[in-house]
Amino acid sequence: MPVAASAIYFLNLRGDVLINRLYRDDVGGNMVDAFRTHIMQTKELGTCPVRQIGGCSFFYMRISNVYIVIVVSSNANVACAFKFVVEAVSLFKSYFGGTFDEDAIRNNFVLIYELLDEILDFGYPQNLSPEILKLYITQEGVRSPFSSKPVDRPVPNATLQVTGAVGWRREGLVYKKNEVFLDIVESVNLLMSSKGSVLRCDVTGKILMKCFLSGMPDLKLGLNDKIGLEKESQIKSRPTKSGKTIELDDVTFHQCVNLTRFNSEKNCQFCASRR
Amino acid sequence: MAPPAQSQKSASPSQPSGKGEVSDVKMQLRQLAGSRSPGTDDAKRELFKKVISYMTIGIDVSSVFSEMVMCSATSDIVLKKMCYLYVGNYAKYNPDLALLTINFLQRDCKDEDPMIRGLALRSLCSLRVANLVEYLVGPLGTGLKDGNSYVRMVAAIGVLKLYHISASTCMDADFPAMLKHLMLNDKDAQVVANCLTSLQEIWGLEASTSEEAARERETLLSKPVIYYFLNRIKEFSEWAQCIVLDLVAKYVPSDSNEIFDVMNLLEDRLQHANGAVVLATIKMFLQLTLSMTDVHQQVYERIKAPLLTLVSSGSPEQSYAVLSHLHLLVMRAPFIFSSDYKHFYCQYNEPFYVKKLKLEMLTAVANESNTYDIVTELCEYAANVDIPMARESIRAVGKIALQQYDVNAIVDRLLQFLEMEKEHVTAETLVLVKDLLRKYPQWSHDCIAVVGNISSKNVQEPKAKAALIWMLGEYAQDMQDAPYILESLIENWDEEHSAEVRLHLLTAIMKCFLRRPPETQKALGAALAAGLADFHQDVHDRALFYYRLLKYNVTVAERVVDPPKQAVSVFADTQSSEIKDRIFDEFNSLSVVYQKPSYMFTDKEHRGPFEFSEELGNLSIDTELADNVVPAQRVEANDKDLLLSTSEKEDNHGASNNSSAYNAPSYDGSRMVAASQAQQDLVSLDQPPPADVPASLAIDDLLGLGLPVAPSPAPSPPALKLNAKAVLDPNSFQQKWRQLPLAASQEISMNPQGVSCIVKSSGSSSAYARSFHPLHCFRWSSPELQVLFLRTKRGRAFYLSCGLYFNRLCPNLVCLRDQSWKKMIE
Repeated sequence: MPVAASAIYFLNLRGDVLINRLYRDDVGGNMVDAFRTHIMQTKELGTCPVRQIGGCSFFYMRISNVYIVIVVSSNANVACAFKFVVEAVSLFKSYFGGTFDEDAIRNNFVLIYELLDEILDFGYPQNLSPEILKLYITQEGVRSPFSSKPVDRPVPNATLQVTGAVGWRREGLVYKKNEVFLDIVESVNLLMSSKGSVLRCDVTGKILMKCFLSGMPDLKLGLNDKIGLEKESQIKSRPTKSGKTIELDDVTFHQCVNLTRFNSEKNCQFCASRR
Repeated sequence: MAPPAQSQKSASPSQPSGKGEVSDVKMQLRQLAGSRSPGTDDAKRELFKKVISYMTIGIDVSSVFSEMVMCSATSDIVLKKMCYLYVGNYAKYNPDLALLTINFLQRDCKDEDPMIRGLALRSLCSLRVANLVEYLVGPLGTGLKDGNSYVRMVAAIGVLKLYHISASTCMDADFPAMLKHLMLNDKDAQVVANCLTSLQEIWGLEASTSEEAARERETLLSKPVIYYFLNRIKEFSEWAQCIVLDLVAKYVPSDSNEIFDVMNLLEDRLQHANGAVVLATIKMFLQLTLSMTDVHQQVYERIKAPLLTLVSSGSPEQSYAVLSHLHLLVMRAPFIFSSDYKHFYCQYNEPFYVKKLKLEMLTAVANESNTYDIVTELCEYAANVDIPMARESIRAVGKIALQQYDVNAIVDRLLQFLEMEKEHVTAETLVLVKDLLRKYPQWSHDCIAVVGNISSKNVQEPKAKAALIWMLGEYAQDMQDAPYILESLIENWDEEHSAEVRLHLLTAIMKCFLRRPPETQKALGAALAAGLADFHQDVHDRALFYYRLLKYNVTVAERVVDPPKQAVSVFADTQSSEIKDRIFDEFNSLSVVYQKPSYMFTDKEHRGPFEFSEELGNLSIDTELADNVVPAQRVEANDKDLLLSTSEKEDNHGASNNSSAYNAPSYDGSRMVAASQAQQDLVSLDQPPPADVPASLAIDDLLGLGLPVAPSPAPSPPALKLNAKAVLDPNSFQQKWRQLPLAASQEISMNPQGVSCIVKSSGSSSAYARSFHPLHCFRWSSPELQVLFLRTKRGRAFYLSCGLYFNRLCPNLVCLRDQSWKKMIE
């Protein structure tokens, strides 16, 4: 069973509704009151992100000073719902210039409604890639004055390429200067007992790529794995150190990576990515 | 939208109250509606924004509906979108005004710009007004054939919306067939995905009523369709992939080669960045290999790494969802994750719900080799400042101990907890020590030594206090001070608020008395006196029961209160394996998080009326709904008496059948058995031996009970009253009937004529039988009794259940009832 959200709410910390959007009639109109009385005003808040009240399940997440609540009445796919919220938030952030909080929502509520219309239809997730959504969304986010990122204006007459095979990249991009930036972000987790012995340690790393390349280029990125596996971009991996070679436990890739060619040299197509 | 009265309440004081603003906006909109001057659009935009912001904070702006519609004649797409949003929100509550919008929406559906076509179509389908569906069919039909994929994508979901408004219109227009065609032929992946979503839902709902829909649903799982989806899987968006993978998980491949082909094709999905896709893939792998045990194990090995990655990446909420699934898998195959136990160590910054799941995981993976490490880690958490966390970890230690690994070390650790002198730690530990002692009585010596040092004043929580008292009673002979501690507790009887503790106190003092009578005698007397005066029914009953038991015979009392116990080998598992399997079948859904199969939380019946009504009380939902529920409950309360007495009747019926004497007095006697007195019957207090009287007096003296010789006369049994005019509709009767435990049953197969014979031969003109349908209930009544028949049909056999209601007790009643049974047998 897919998500099938019946309603989505954005609430501030006091429980005021910032945005509400009802997709289906199978939940009552005042589900948000139920959420307020049964979850926000009790100690339950924060004890479990999934709660059931009278036949409806509430998934909620707190992002800065905003609660995003999804109400479903069926047996929904939890992982999908949370992933959807996370993706939606990063989408909003990309519109608002990096911040997602109560003020940003109040300043942009028309835009959010417009986005919610496109990313969920009748409760089913549709398309969340910012590149494509820019084609439909007419409003521009009100950015906070501090962010000075250049806004690339949506091409007004772009043909609707709703769900092309390459969802993350628009066709016909041209840059004067073709550049690629690679960032590697790694975080080391170490758990040590009070006596100083290491209980557990691991390294989680991300390779972030930002590219300004014209057209639809194929890119290759190699990783020196112990076995000599080559792996490519947009990787979130969790390598553990063993000697001098790096042994990768597991890697995941952004959807632009061609997963099938994982064991040999691989190609991948890129967009000027948001991550 | 919320009705205005409530929204006012929920709006915070700082927000505008609405009325004045709304009429302002209304005026301005009117002025703008006719104007054609440049700049109108900008002004309109501002106004529309205002309207929508009012709408969002809960102010009812439905009064400007007609003005909004008038202003909607514009080519500005931003305005259109805002207008669509407004219309979609309020159309449902203004069906008449909604008709106004149909016109411009239909016009927009033919616009040149595909985006406007799509938007208009989506809004048209979202109006949710039942009497406007006729206007939907045309635009939807053209939408499905539109040249632009965006419009087709919207139309595919639009069909589903139409189905929810009016299923018959949707089926009559043959939309499902069109969707199917589109699904199998469209080149745009999102259109295909939306078609699939709609079809799954439509056919899933139709399948119960229409065989054709059920067949169609099956064809979705046929080999060509599945292969078609699998071949295109890379074209789908991540969300659509979830839907497709979910579909594939239901597919049953013909042989093992096919299984391997599918799995090889989809293995790379395990590397996908979207956790939902990975989980969907895992579900599919697990389902496909269920029949192949060894491959199934390999699948566990393969999915381990991706799952552990998912746990440690992403937001806590996502980790929670993944961990719930991991927990399910760990329960099924603990050994696979037993070497990765360190992944389940808690990190300080994780929220409580993640930590709690991790603790459960740690208890599940514990085995001989890793128990020591895990328990060491858990002991660190027990000292945590976060009290719930400390409690959970102590419970986890206890659970591991009950799993029988390395008990020795664990008991030592638990006893160390008791020395930490933190109230919550002590409390949790006491409860655990009690459970441990029930399983491993051999440790009693060590435990008792430590437990004996705990002052009962430091233990306040009822559960912990009860556990301590239980130990005092159970090990009274080993603990020097036991009688005196209990005595001091009894002195404070009135301050003890928890009935559970008082019950335990009574039992403990009894046990103590049976082992060390001279020291306890006085305390027991005080306890029984206090218990008899207790306002709590259970405590009172138990005190009375003990008192009479002692009065009757002390050896019997010992047999009842303190029999030799066997160590508990396995504590009952709360979930049956059948339920666990069902949850596993619903992998990657809410069932896993709630740990119960979906029917338990999606079906209304299973949620129970109480929970629902509580909802209603707190939520003040539409009064209409509330009215429906409340009488239902009232009926239920009434029924309860009725049915309980019925079941009692049936009980007695069985009994009187066995004994050959059918005389009324004995029947009367047995009828009066009330719940609290059933126990007396066990020791047959009804016919006390003559020698008993002095003995009981002796006991009174012994206990120093200043009670009259006949202590509180047995409360007269509540007279059984039957409702002479019980009227139940067939459905609710049937529901009640099923909830009753079976008292006596006789199953005979018979033909319909036979049944009607019974009814006819029952004779009187008041007997009536309505037409025979499966699951039917009919009634025959006379002044003395009513007979209710419940007829069900299973396969070719008819089952007739019979309920007897006695309006008045009369001597020949038993015979009468017997006759009716006989007739049934005939």
